[in-house]
Amino acid sequence: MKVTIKSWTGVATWRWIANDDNCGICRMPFDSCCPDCKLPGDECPLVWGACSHCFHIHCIVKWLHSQPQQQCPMCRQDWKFNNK
Amino acid sequence: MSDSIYTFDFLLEPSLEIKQESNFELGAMSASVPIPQRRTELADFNTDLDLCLQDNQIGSFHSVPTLPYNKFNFEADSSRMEPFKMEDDDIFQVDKADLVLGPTLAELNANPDTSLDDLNFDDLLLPEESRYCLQIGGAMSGSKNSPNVFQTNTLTSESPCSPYGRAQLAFSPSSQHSSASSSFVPPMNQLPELLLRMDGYSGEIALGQSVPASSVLPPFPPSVKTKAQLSSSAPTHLTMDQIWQRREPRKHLLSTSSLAEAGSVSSLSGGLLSPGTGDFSQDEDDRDIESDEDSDRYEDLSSDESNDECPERKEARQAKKEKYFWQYNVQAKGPKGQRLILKKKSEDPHVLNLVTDPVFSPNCNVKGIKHSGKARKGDGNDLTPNPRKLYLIGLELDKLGKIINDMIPVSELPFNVRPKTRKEKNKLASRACRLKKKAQHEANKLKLYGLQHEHRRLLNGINQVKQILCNRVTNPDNNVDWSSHVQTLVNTATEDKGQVTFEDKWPSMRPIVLKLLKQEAVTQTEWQDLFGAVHSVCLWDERGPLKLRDALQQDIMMYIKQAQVRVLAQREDQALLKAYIAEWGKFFTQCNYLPTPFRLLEGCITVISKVSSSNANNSQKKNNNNNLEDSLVRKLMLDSWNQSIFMDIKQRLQDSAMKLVQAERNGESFDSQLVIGVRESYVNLCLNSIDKLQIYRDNFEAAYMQSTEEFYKLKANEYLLANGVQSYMKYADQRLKEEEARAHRYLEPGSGSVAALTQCCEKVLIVEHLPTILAECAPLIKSDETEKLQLMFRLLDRVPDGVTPILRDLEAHIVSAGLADMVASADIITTDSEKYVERLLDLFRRFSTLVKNAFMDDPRFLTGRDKAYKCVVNDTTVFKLELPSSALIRGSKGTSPESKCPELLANYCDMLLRKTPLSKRLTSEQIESRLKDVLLVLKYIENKDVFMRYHKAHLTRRLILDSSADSEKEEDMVEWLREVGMPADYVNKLARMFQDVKVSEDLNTQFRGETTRHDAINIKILNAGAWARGSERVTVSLPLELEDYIPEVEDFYKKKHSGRKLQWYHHMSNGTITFANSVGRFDLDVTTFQMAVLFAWNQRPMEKVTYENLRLATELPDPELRRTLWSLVAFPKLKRQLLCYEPVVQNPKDFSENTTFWVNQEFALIKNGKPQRRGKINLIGRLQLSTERSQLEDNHSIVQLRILRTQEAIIKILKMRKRITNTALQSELVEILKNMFLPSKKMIKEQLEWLIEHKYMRRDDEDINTFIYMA
Repeated sequence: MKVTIKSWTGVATWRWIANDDNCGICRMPFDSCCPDCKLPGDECPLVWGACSHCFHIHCIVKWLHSQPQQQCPMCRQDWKFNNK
Repeated sequence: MSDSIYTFDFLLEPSLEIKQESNFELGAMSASVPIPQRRTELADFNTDLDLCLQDNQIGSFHSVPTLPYNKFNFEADSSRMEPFKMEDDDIFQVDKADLVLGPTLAELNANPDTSLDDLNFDDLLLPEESRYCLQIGGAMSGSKNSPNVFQTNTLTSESPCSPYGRAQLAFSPSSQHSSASSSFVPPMNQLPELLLRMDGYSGEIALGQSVPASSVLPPFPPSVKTKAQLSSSAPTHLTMDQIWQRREPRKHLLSTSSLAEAGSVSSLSGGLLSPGTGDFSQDEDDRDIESDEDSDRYEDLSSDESNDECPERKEARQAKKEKYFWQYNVQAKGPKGQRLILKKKSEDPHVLNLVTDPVFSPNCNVKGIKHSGKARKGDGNDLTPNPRKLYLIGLELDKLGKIINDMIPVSELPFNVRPKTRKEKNKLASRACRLKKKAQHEANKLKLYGLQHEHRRLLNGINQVKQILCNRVTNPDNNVDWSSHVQTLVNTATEDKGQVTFEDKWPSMRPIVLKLLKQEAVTQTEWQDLFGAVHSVCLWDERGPLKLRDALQQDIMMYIKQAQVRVLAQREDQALLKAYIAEWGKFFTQCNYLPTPFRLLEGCITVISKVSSSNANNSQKKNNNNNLEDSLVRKLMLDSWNQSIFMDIKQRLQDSAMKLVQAERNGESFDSQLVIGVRESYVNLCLNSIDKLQIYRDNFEAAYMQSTEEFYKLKANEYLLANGVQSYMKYADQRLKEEEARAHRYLEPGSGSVAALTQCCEKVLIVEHLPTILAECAPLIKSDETEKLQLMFRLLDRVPDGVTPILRDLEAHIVSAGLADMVASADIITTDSEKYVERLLDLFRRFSTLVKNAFMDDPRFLTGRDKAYKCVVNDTTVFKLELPSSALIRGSKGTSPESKCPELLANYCDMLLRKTPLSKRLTSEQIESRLKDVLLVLKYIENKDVFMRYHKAHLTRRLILDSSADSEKEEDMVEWLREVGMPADYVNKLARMFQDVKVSEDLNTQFRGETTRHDAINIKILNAGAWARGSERVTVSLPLELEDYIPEVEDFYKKKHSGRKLQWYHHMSNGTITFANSVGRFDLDVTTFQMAVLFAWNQRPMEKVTYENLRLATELPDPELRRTLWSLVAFPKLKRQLLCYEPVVQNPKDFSENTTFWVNQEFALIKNGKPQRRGKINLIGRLQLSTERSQLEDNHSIVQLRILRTQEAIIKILKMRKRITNTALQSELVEILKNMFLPSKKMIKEQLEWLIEHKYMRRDDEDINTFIYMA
């Protein structure tokens, strides 16, 4: 008797790896989307700054646009996207 | 007055000065230049013509021979009203007069008692003189003690035809001096208005200036005054000289007051008004007569005057040598120097001195007065009365006044602009002053004109009386009735002679009126004459309008009486109606024509009734109040008709009409015009302008309703008893329609009568038999008698609350019928969701058809159907979904059971969307329509969240196992769910799932491109937010081949998406394995767990492995392992299982640690009783979406979720409302949550308590049922 795998479908779910549960700007959970979006996921991704703080991309972009200086709203360091 | 025995000298009085040149410009008529001199006699005459006429009339009415003074009292009254208006100075002293707020002219006229006691006839009065005057007065009023000679004078003939007073003034056609007068002829009755307009200036001024003694002299008793007047107008006595002498010193005294000198100016006006001048008598004939006579009388006198005076004046001039500039320009205000007083030789008060403009008259010989070419001829020199000018000045003044009043008060302005504004305002004010002066001047001209005529007439009268007296004296034996003769003379002289009186005119008017009434032909001339006659009666005869009205009323009454006789002559009902309608039609037509000529009358009567409102009767007052649009005469006509004919026969009319209607109901035909005609007469007979339909409503409509009601009360009962309810309904329906049509015919449209009648019929026909009809309802519904139901619905829908019982019956029927159906087929539907849903839909269609056919899809019935159907759908008697109570979580007891319907519905849905025999059997369209049906039923489900939960689970399975029949339909379904109002976040998650699957496919392709190792690897990486149900991690040791892939996939994914963490859901993953044994090779679709278990034998195919060892090998949690093993040892669809085990148990829970399992070497797929060598089978069954434990929690989570939703909704509401009562909160909560579930009262209460406990909200201190949000 021999059992061989012909095909396999693996199911996995993904979550954001964030240092917090909620977005520091909109206070929505990272698992859901920012207030401007309808669906969580690829349309409403998270971004991490060099300072390791993490936000919905829509939230941080909005924040940066509204500020004269490009600073992280959490730690006041200069904001840089961390493209690790 | 050539017989005047008195001579007056014109004196140039050095002590008096002419303040102003005479404003009369006289033509060549008089050569003499009398110095302006005021004569008090003028006080007798009214210039305000209309009013003076009235007063005179009143006076004449009251004068009784035995009371000789009365008449003169009235004269005095009238004179008071028009004191010296001819004051020259007035024109230039307006400013001062403006300050005096005296009574207006109108007030003076209206109130004869207004005391003008201080008129300065008192200057003329002497005791001895007054005695004389009394005698004269007596003689004039017909007392027989007059000793004088009489001589009849033919001049009486002049009296009737000389209404100069107004007519001439208004028309002023031939004034020689009217170069400046405009052609504008204002309507006669406008003149008083004009004067009234000006009375603000003229009246006051006249008073203030002409009554210098007002504050100085004590008022004289009326009797004295009377004498004074008499003295002025009566033939004077020898003592007149004395009078004048006495007067003059007093005048000097008076002149200390700054006001004008009455005496000095009076001669001027007197001169003007003298009959001889004739300047203003525009009527040629009149003037001819008068001037002939007068010139005869005055010719020599005047020439004498002019000749004689001049030297005197020269003397005066020489005495005062200064030359004032007024001598060049009469309009200029000269220094208050000497005044020219021309003393006439004969101071005959009967003779009005001629006045010539001393400056412009070519015949003026006064040296120094003649202008030297520099003087301009201005308005002041023109004496032509010009009412239009006065009117225009009035308008101008109004405008100015408005502008001035509209200006912002200086005190409210900033300082810097104040001077400017003040200047501006002053400018306007002085302009207004100038205008007022001008207006004063114009008014004076008018008054002067009237006074002149009045004077002339009176003098005529006096002359005639004189002659009579002479005759009487010379011929005492003559037995002619002198007194009456004199009376007539006096009357004609003092009255407004020549007035058109009502009595004169009526005889000529009456035939026309009668003709009109009888609808006979009236010629155009007659028609126009009628207008003219009414006009003149209204204008000239003070009592005319009232008399006219009364006469008119009499005639109308007469006509109506005749008509009544004609109508009542008819015995028979129809004939009566016909006659009445004919008469009414005629009369009503006349109602529209006859009032036209009498329109003026209405205005007059209104005015009269306003003036004498005290004695005006109430009805008239009322009429006047609201007859603005409705003519008085018309009202009179209709009133008379109403009172005399209508009141008498209205009962008969109504009865006849009702009889006709009744006859029509009984099927007989008749002339409907008869009823309509009667109705129209009722409607048009309106008297009440507020409610024009009053008579119609009170009588005709009421009678119609009553007869209708009585008729049907009888008929309906009869029919019901005879034919039963069902045919009665048909009868009632038909009758209602008939009656409505009839009402439209016979009742006044737009009056609401039709509606009222319909209501009345409904009451009789339906409401009174409501219980009987309703008793039929339930059986009809049960037997599906849609037509009869429809009839019933139509009938009952007319009456308020009629349909409510039907609605109740229908609901009861639906619930009972539906449930009965469900219970009857309970065993089928509990197991087969397809059958269940189809049965539900069938019921729904049945009820909908019923509602549609019987009740025409009336919204109320649709709601009723929905309500009842909801009951059926959510019923729990057949099967129920036991939801664990929130007790487990919150610590209280269980919830009420809920219908299993949503679960079955979701299952049915799954069957349609998955690849199943059912979905394969149906066409795409059929599937779609069934899905729509599902949604329809879903609307009635209370616990929609349960459906959603199941639907999502089914969808997850379909997506993961790729078992959707049609992915397009899947997505359509999501949209439909959104359309039926499913909560957005739920629908969004479903949409998200589709998206994830698509993303995963792309990812798969990429991944396969990167790895070469295995093409058979599929990954589905899903968004935890949309898919995850529990975060429980199930451990499993994967087959080695797969184990290697895991990190590879993770690496790959990390490269693709940073910041994401993968979590494997092995309980959802699955695969296909090839199972090869001695029998053959089989492809098995298995879950990953099954795969893991089977792989345990891969190294040792023949061994028996204990449960414990399997657990160690697979690392599966106990419940999962048991379940997986059970699916392998006892798969329902397999005849030969994959695994064998020992000892045999009935339940996976009974596997012990020592239970041994081994691979069934004989495994094969059996088809047609024969083992197959090849084959493919799906061992997955229903894909497990969660672990065993979480499945237990699944139902809990429904409740949990509901609790959270409820809390969320409560907070949402409170955030919005801040405070809210319990009931309002509950209803809003249901509204918010109804698309998910119906929150039970208990749960709401629990959640409220919880929220209060956790300080989200609190109860109001005063009202325990009000909640307040706490931020």
